[in-house]
Amino acid sequence: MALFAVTSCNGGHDQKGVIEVIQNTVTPFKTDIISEAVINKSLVAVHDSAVNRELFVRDRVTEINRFNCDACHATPLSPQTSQNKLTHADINLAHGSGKGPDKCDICHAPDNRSKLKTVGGKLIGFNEVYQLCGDCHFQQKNDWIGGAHGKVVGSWEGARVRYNCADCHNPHQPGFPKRWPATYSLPDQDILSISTEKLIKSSNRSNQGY
Amino acid sequence: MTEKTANRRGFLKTSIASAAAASALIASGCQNRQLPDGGSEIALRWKEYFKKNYRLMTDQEKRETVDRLEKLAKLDQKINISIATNSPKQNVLFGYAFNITRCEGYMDCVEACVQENNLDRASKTQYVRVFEMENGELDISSGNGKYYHEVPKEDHFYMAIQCFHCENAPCVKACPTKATWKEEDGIVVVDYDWCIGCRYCMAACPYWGRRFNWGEPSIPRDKINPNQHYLGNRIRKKGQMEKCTFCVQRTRDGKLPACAEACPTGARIFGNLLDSNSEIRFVLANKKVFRLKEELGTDPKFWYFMD
Repeated sequence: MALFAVTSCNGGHDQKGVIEVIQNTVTPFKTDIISEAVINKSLVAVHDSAVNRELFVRDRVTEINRFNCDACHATPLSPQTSQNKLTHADINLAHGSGKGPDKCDICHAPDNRSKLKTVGGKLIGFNEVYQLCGDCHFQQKNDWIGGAHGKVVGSWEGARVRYNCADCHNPHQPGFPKRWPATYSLPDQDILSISTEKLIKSSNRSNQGY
Repeated sequence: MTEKTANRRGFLKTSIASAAAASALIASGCQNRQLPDGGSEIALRWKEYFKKNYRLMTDQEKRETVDRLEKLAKLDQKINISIATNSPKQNVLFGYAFNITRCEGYMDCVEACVQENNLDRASKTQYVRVFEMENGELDISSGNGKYYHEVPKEDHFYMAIQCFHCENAPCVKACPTKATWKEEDGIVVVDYDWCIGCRYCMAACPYWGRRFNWGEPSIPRDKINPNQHYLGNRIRKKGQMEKCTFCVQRTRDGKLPACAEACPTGARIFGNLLDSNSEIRFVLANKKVFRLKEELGTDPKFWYFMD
């Protein structure tokens, strides 16, 4: 009897905990899949010292209407603080409440409207915006490269594709506004007080769509 | 003497068999409609009634039951569905991480799950539940799971729970008919047709992960998701247990589960725990993660962390 009790207490004796299973993995997991969600989009490789494997973002410049801003805009950027009259009047710069960039030319290259300018003065394209954001938000950038920050596009296996910084955060107004939830949950009382009539009705309804 | 025994046995056999058939038909409410290929509905329901537990089926039997289910769906709901029976991928153990700082209580995950997994709209069944907790609270049962106002609320944070797919799942141990088990890729699944509806698993689960169909589920025909998996989002019946399956119909195809795909703030991280380069492994290695009710020893594969 006692023996039986001991062995049953040890129930999952040969079953390892999940951390042990992870630590004892020998075979590396490798696939070269690129998920369907991004197959038709061109991908741009992420370049950073923290990147230790293949990492991509989607090519966004091809989706900007009338990209190659400097094809028409040849004059240098004037040092405005926010909206210009007539052009880009919808942009309200509210990044960091005084401690963040408060002028257009802090991030945008003054002499090249198609490029951004990092803190070190290097000109980068819009697809490499993570290098600019990461100059100040380095903690988030390292987390993003590793996967703890931001979102994966498409697949959990294979070549990883991430949303770029500007895909989620509006660089001019990065704060997320308040909104209503997508749905609600029923209070438990409702379920308990469903009348027997309703239950009978729902069980008589055969499994036909309506 | 032997002749009498044989007659009595034979009589009992046929009468029990026909009573069983009749009750099965009455229970399924079928009218023996004819199928387009000439078969009869009674034959389909008869075979469905007597099929085996999914784990004991051969590949041929799996194909046959999928075929029957697809035909019955065409008869009942007048829709074309496709039920997959993908096996787990090699070298995969699914894990999930939830970033409490990023969740703003939008409940996009809850709604996406309902639509992806063909959940009952009448009783508003939801696999994922989001709790609104006051800053400083640690116990999830002190949270409010039924909020409906603009989010995020001042001085509150949000946490979501769903089935955690425990490595040492109490629900698997509690099931008297072995209708629920843990697959090789770590997903705890339910064979809905094998479930007898005793709800022992619901009592055993410490995380409110399980849902029971008290009534016949109803989904508007145009909202039914036709891409189904036998162990996943195929349509359940009254008296069957169900729960989050990490969207087995999506994840075994390489896609993210619907909740992770829907989250607009990137609070949900899903991946393969055996892939040392995955996002979930990065979180486990670099963030202060914790699991709910660790002291129960259920070994859940769902971690929470804060930035």
